[in-house]
Amino acid sequence: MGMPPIVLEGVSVVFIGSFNPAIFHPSWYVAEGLWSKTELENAEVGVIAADACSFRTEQYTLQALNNRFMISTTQPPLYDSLRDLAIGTFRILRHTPLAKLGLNRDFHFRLESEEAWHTIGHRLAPREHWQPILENPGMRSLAIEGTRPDGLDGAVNVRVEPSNRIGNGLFVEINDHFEVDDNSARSAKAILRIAEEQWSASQRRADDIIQHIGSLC
Amino acid sequence: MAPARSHPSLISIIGPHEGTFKSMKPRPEDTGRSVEFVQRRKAMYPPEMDASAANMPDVQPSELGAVAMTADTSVTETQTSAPPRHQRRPPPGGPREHFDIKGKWHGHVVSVGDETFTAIIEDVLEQSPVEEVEIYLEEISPDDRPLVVPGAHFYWTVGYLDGIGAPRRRTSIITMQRLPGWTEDDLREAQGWAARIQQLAEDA
Repeated sequence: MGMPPIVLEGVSVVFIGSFNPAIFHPSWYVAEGLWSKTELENAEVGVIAADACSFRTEQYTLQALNNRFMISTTQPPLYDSLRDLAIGTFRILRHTPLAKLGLNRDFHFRLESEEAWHTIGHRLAPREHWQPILENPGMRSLAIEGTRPDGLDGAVNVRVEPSNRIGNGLFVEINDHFEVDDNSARSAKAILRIAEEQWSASQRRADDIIQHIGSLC
Repeated sequence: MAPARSHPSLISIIGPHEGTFKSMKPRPEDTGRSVEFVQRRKAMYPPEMDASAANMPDVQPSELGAVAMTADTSVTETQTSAPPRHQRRPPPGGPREHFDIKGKWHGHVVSVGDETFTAIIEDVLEQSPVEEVEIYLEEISPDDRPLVVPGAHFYWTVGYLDGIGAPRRRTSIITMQRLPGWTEDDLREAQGWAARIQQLAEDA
């Protein structure tokens, strides 16, 4: 069987650290030249306050709290631009303490039939292991963690679930998680370097994982 | 050298992706019966939680706080929570379009003319020699056009845009890179690194 079609996908960059959410204002991005003025003029602002910031443009979504910053898009042609937005933000705010980084991808496959949809669930979480203790067991969520293949601190996490967006759909999330030690986490430098150097490898890894899962369908 | 010309008004073709993050409110627990893989009755979604009907800020700060307490760097952009049981069909407001990438290049601008610019591009998806191309300036969105200067970097993606009930459209998107320049600290660090490499070479 061939790879089932991907009908929805996204990418996000998450930083864990210490932030001042109010600074991530659309006008700050325009002033710094990181974001198109026209796009931000039409941004949907959820909240911009001392403790939280959330806005969305046609192409990106940004959310920040005191300890978490996230920017995402669901448009594949803009993945590299999203990386630039994330990195550019903290190149400017380079004294921001950053301790952890997530380079994340998510995908929704459409399976050809409900039967195929059940089959992949059974393949990933064989029901025979659960039938002795559960009636009619079904896979709801599967999380797998792998060690990092590059010697860096962190993990590669994969989660598979039925899609809640696509009929007969399979959702796969890949969290490429990086961490740095306390000393390196005092500024943005170490995490930014990882983001810059590991971006391409992370994208390829996500593509490989998704191809592999697709091949199981 | 023929100018590489693709679809005009490229950026506007890619519309917003509706529904994302609209369903971050906690959903009611489903204690009903289970079926084989995970299924959910459509009726499990009250109207106010319907992705297409949500009329609330996309993200509730308290919810984000709950996520952040875990210091988790994962984020589920397109699927906001584990689906309740008994899902058979997803709620309305699903994806309208998907971009199927067929080619992707990174490039930098060499020179800029009145109507076109010349660039060196490198294939990201396949190993092939770098190429020099000439691209119409009208391929660049008006906001990005001032960024088209010698040395500027850009991303070029071509592919098919598949929409529900719409014919497949061949699409090309060029976005200029927007990154802040190097700081004095960066330059000092680079010079230090170069000096160390030079010293190592001399020692060897």
